[in-house]
Amino acid sequence: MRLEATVPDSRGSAVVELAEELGLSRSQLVDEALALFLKAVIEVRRGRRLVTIDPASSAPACELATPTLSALEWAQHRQKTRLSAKSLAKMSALAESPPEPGARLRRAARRSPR
Amino acid sequence: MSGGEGAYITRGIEPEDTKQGFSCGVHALDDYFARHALVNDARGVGRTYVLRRVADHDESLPAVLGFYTLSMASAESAHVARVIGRKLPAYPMPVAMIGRLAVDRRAQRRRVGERLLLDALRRVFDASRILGCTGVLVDAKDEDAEGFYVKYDFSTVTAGAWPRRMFLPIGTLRAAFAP
Repeated sequence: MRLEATVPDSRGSAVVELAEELGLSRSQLVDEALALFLKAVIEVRRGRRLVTIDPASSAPACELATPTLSALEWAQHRQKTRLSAKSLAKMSALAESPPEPGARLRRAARRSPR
Repeated sequence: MSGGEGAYITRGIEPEDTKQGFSCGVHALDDYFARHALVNDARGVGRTYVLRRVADHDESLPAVLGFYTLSMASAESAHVARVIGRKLPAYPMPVAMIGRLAVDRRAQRRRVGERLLLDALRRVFDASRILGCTGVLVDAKDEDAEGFYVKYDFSTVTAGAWPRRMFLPIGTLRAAFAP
C-alpha cells in the first residue's frame, strides 16, 4: 500500500537524514515509525503509560507523549461532572451555535506557539 | 511577558518541578502542586502541565512559573428525570476540563496566565481533532478569575454561587486557532 503524507519541513528533513544514517529506505523508516505508533496507541488504550527506562536504575527516565496519545489518555479517564438542567441547556446552546472568537482570543491564539 | 519564545517551555510535570518552591499564594493550589499533582498525573486522573523558565534565562524568576491541570469529563444533568421534554442534550456532553491554573507570585503580571491558558486551549484544540469534545469547562474561584476567563470568551453557565462554572464551545476555539 502506498501512503502519502504532508509533514513539516523540519520533520521531513529529519526522516531523510535518519534514513541515510541508519541505512534504511524512507519507506522502511516510516513503516517502523508507524508500527511503533500503532503499538503506542494500543498500549494507551489499555490504560498504560509509555516511558523509557534507565538501565542503570531500572527507573522511568522519560515519558513518551504526543498530542494524540495525550488525548487518548485523557479519554480513558473521563470523569463525570453534574450540572443543573439550566447550565447544561446553556452549554448545549453555546456548543450548537458557538460565538465567533473575540479579538483578544484570536490575538492570543496567533501568539500561542504550536 | 518578556523573553523570547525560547526562554520558556511548557511540558508535562516531572518530579523535579515539585521541588522548585512553587508558590502562587493560595495554599490549596500550592499544596496540590507540591503533594498531589505528580501522583494524580501518574494515575491519569488529571494531567499537569508546567510552564518553566529555561535554565539560564532571567534567574530572578522562579524555575516553575505556573501550572494547569487538564482532564476529560462528561457533563451530565444532575436531575436526569427532568431532562425528558426539555431542550437538553440526549447524551452526556464530552468536555475538556481545566481543573486548576495557577501562576507563581514572583511571575505574576507577566501574562503567564494567558500563556498557560492558551497552551491548554491549544492542547484541547489538537485533541478535538481525534476525539469528541464539545468545549472547555473551567471553574472560576472568584470575580477576578471570572473576569480573566471572560476576556477569552468563556461564558458563565452557573450563577449565584462560587465557583462559577464557565464554558468555551469548541467551535469558538477552532475558529480562534484556524489559520
